[in-house]
Amino acid sequence: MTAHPDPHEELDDLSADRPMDDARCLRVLSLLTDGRPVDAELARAARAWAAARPGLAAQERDWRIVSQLLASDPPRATSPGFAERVAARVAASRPVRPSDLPPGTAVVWRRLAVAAALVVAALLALEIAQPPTLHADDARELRRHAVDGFRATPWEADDIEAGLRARLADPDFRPGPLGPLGGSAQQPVAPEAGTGAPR
Amino acid sequence: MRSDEEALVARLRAGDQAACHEVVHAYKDRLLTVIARVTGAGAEAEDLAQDTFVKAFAAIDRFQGGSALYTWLYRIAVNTARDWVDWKRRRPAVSLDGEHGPIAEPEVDPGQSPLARLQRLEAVQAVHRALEQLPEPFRTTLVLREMEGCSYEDIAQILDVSIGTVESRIFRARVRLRALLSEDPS
Repeated sequence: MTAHPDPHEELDDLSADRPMDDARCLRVLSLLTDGRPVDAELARAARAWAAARPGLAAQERDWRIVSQLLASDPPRATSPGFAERVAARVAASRPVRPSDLPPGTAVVWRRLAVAAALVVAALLALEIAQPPTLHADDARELRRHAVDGFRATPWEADDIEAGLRARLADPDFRPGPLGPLGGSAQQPVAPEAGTGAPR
Repeated sequence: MRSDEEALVARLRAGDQAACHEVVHAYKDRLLTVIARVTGAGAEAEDLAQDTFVKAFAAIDRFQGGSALYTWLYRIAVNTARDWVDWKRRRPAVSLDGEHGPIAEPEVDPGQSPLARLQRLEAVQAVHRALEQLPEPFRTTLVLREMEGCSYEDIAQILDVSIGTVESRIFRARVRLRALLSEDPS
């Protein structure tokens, strides 16, 4: 089996100062067959070389015959409806563009989009202009107020003394019943026996 | 790129369907011919030609105008044809042999005798058989040169190779083709 040459391999430069041989001669003849520019001296040398070797001249003649036979191959023609089938496939494979829509469709859609945007903007403006409705809950506000009095910011530790002071100074403060220990917030707390100091 | 071709490409980019029709009508037979010659396929060549146009229109934004539109289309057609040939070769159960489309009758010279016409037809068929035996890169290069009449420069652009490679492939393809014809028993 014949090994196929590398299709990406380029042949060496055809310089006129290298000695002629059969392979170089055929390469030059191939280029001349196609009307490629070849150094005049090289072309003369190849012609002279081929003229002295009937086999090379026959090869060049065969190339021309094959070339004519290949060139005489008539072109193929597509079947009827080919262009329409291509158009259908192209239309199916690409996204809809504005130019594909019927005349006026784009204008209608644009106006609808503007109208929808105006409605949304008006609703937003109305919502922002109205003050929020506050639902105050006395007990909740009171608890929150009391708790907030124990510290200046949510991140600080509780200052019990300051918180109680603020709580008692609050005119809205209405002490409720004490828990399971009983008694009232206004009742003085008796010092525990033996310590002499308030807890 | 010529100015009328630039305008045509601009219309293609804008999705103008009339421009697509113009391009299809201008190049459909040429692309079908080159695909059929490269692949040796019959009816499937037309599907490949359709694929070529669909790919070309989908990728028209990537056409930079450095070459003629037909060169670009040929390039897509040749790549599509090569992919199909590779795909066919990878299918182990199916051989390429015997699947080729019929060889078109060469143009008839009215002054030719029936015997001379028969000899010519036989010669054309022998050349096609030999062409099909050439390795794909050589066959494609020779088809573009001998059958499509492309210049070396156009072939280099279509196949994305250097002109030196085109020269080398054409020369080797000719030598190999002649050797195959010498071995042809008919």
